[in-house]
Amino acid sequence: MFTDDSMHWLNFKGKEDNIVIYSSIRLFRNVHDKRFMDRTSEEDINDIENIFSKTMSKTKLSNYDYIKLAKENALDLSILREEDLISSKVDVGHAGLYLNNIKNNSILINMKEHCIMQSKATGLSFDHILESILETESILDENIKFSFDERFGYVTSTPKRVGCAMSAYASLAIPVLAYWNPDAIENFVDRCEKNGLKCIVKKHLYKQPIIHVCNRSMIGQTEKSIIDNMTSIINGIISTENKVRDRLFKIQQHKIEDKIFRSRAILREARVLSYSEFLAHIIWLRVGVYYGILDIETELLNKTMLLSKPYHIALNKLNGKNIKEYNINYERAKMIRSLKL
Amino acid sequence: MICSICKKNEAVLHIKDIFMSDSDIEPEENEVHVCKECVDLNNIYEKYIKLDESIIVDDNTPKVKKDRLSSNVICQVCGYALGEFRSTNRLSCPACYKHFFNDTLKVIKKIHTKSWHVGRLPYEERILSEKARNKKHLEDKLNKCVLEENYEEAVIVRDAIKNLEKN
Repeated sequence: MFTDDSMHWLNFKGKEDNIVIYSSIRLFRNVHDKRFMDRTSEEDINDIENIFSKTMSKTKLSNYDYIKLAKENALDLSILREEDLISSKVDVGHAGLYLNNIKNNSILINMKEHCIMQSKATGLSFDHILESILETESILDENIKFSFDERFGYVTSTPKRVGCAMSAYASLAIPVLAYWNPDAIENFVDRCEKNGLKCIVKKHLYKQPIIHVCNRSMIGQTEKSIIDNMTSIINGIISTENKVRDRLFKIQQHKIEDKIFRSRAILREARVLSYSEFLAHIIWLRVGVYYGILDIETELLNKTMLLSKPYHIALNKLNGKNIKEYNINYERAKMIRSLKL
Repeated sequence: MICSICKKNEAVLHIKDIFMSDSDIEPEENEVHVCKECVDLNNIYEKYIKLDESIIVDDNTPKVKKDRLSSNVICQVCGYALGEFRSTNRLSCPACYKHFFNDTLKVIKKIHTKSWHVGRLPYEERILSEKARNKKHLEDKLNKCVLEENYEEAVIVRDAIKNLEKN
């Protein structure tokens, strides 16, 4: 149900998609005159569910599929979590998910907030995503009254998300910068802090050279200015990574080539492959694509990154049975060998 | 020990007063022993305990008391307590933002550094603001037409404004 379809949003090409894996925007909204999710009653939850189902059926959004999360089995829920459609730590008891056919636009109701709209795309596509998510929001807004305060904007259950109640997020793969000059990343972290953004860098950056950029501040600026601000910072990171790539290829070509081909050899030949090891190597293949050494489509790399996640392997390769770490690592290696990257 | 006031009964309350004047090197100690009857008669508790609080707690007392009082404030709509907001940083209903305005404002400023919403407006207000913008534009045009003595167009613009107001 969730994988192997050719119409998945990861199959579409985005701008700067060699470095930016994907970008996404979320909008948080609450229905007027109802208590927030933590404190709401069963009656209100049912009301909200009815309001949304009525609105969705009579508007342009009627082609969205509805998934009642409480009725799904544990494996399907884990698949949704791996696709980043629902958050991992929150109870799904009353939640429901509206999802479009290519799974890039989703509307999550009765979880954390009454309504969380999400739109995603590969590469750095904030302008396009913002347009699409605001269109969805306008359709809902014409039919549902959302709670709004003149001073604080759209109000939510926590002051962290008030204002335009929009969270933008981008995930960047910067293997060469992490390999050659990891200190440069600290500069970006500082720049992000000063501009009301947050740059999340994992502890073992060398092993998994992926950083995440999101906005911390949501009030006092328009949606467009948040996006412009983020885009300019991310463009800075991209140009630095590209500069380092070009320079390093001139002075240490053999080392870089060794890194790329060694990664490809491991992915082609490994018999047991953990997800973190797989991630460390597949990101180096992107560098090979950038130099023109390897002829692989970035969309395939993106999709492989999703399909190699543990529960996707369990669903596609093990039919939901024998979900043990060894089995999954073995099946992952087998699947990646068959792709002949 | 015998009561030092009536000097008859057995003392139940023993008070040790330690104080230090500027000229002294060692602190002076003064012990008082009071029986139960004398405690009630002379309001000993009130006298000593009030004195003690004023010496020890000093400036902090009013603040602590005020804080404790204000944390009992509740949201008039949903009954959520301010104290709970302070400990969890979560709110219960949209009206909480109005009832706990000062506290939420402080938290919002701390997280976002700004506190005025300038972004997108809800559907109804978007339409209203669009109307207001159109009206202003037409009024400017009308003034310009009158100044230029272009009365024919001014009539058309005036009618357009009237139509807008009717709708």
